[in-house]
Amino acid sequence: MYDKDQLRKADFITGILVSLFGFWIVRQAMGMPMKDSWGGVMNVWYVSPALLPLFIGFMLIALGLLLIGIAIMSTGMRTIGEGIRKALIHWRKGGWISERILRFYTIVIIFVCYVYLNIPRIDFFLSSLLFLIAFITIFYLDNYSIMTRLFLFYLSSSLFFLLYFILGLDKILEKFIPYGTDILTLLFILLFSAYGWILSRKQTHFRRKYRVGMIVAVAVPFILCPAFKYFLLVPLPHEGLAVAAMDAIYYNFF
Amino acid sequence: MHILERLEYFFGTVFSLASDPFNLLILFSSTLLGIIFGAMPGLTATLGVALLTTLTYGMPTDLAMLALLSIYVGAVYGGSYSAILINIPGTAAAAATALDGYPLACKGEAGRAIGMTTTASAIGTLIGMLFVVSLSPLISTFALQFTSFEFFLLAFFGIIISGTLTSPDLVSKGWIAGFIGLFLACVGRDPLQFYPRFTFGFSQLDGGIEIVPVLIGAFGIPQIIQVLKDKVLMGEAKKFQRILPELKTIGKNFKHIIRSALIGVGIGAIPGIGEDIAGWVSYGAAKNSSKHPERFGKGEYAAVISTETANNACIGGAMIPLLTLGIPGSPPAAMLLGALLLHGVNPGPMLSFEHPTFILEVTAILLLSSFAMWITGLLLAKQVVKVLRIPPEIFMPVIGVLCIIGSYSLGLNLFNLYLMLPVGIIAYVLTEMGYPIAPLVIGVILGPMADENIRRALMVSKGSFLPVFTRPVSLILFIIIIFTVFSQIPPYKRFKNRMKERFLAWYFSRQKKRKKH
Repeated sequence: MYDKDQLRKADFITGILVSLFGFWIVRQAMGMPMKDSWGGVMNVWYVSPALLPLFIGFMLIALGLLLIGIAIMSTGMRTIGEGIRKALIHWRKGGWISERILRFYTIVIIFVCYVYLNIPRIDFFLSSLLFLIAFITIFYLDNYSIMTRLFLFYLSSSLFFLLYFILGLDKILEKFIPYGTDILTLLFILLFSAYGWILSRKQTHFRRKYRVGMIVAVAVPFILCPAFKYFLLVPLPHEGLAVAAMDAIYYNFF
Repeated sequence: MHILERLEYFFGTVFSLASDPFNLLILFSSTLLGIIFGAMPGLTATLGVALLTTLTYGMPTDLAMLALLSIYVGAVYGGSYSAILINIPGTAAAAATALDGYPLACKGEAGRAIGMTTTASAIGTLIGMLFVVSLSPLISTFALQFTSFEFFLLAFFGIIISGTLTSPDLVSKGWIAGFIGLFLACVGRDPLQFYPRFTFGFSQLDGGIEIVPVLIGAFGIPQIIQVLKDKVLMGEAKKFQRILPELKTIGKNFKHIIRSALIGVGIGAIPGIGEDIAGWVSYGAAKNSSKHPERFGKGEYAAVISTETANNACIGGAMIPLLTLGIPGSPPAAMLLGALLLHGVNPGPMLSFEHPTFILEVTAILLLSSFAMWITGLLLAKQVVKVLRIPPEIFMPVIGVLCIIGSYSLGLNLFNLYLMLPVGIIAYVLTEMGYPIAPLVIGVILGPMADENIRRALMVSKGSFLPVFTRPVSLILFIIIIFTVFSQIPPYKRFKNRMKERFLAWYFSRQKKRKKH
């Protein structure tokens, strides 16, 4: 959490956002049936579906304004203005690329790629393996230079995958090579792991950390995927190359 | 049910649960998992219950409850390990324990301190259990007389009180979080007229927002971001020898145990207020009532016993409003509510009719889990402590995968994942800005109750709010809500302080006069 001074300055902005959000809720609620007929039922204001949203909207507007009021009273409009100006200058000068903030963006981007890009289109085992390898190597090696390099590598290949799916190249590739996208992901995992190894091989403790990280990253999908698929009977979000291999092994032996 | 029949059923349930080896395996493994979750900084009891909910989805209800309550009990207790051994509380509930637990470990008494917290936690859970079994039927019977107005006010009270008490910064932020939660609960087709609200044409939103993925997102993702962004550094754990139950010292601190258990149950019963507040209040009460308050913070056993008894007694307290009114008393209880709804059990006043033996089963499970926690704590503490060596950069990504697969496996819906992640990121940003997450979650859970009941109530009264003032329970709830809101307004606070000062001045002058006479 921020300190009190920063919080008050941030409150001014969040107060505006909360009030606008409340205003948006009220506007949306005004479009809901208040007295007209809906589904053959004549409405009155107190049974209208808009009743609670209107109440929430007005309360959020009031609380947002209260937040703005408290922020102005405790720090003064001038200080808030200066704070915002300083933050903008700091932002323009590239102050947003501090290690802490980069760590935040890295976590969010890895999660976003995993949930919105990989899980719906790539075999769950492979997408989880990629997520874990990327996440663990980037953070566990705990070195700013390695972190930025690995993150940029991950980001650029995720952008490649994004374009690959947007342009529909996955469908074209899979016409010629079965599980083409999964094979491509596997290649990327291997490349990423190799790049991680190259960056970490110079120091003994990095090498040890890299080894441990890779063992965990590989072991977890090996335990989780069969546990969910065969014991809890949960079909995985996208079943491709690795799950097909798992199926072949499981149904041959059990 | 007659009292003897209830007792017979209670002991019958305990016996039947304890006599099945598979049940025992689930009981002890969930408790152990809970202790590990509690001990590891960054993992919480709520997250433990959330992740296990997804694994117990296919189990029968009683077995699922056995696993979920055991992990809850274990996790609340497990937080004391890291609090005592590395001075980092594993859960917020154990934050007060670290104040005196770590100095004790520095003196070489870590084993003794853990032995004491183990026994105190078990006693706390047992006392909480006694309150569940004795108070729940009374509250259920009383709640049967509630009408829609009371239910609406109760839901609203839950959101307001949780916002008031859990806000780390301004109280208004707690209320804003509560209203955002209420807004999320409005998404989907409304329960009375099936009008689509805030669905933006997405058919997946027609049924409303699923509670469990929202809870996993709200509690899991911010935790992962926080730990990895801020680099939580784990210290070297203090070494310890044998762990004994320390019954003699516990006996000496009996009054602290009773007082802390009562505080724990009371705080647990307040909607949305978790074990952390119970621990702090109990610590404060123990310090104020001690003959040697100067020893607190330097390694006082009474402090450690008080906080641990209170946070575990809080579990029983949190179960009371959950089972009788459908209002969760703490964030892990909110997760339990989600799990119960998944299993087709609707907690509330009708629970005693729909599932007459359910409260007794929960009580029996609480008894067994406190016993399992005590045994596991005494026998396996040394082994469990080894997990503190696992760096967060290794286990947090694994927790991330569990959050993802867990959210997906409930309903096999990818949309749950698409929803969970933004909820998690927004929850993290809100936490950084000083907004509490518990009221948001309580808002999501109590939203449908508030929406349905206010409209039904107004339908019956033909748009009149008069019944709020003519029905005694409604009026009391209304007054409490108004008082809670007004008590946070600065002019009122100034007025209260002035009145307090005047009263104290008058009181001391009277005392002086008496002494002179």
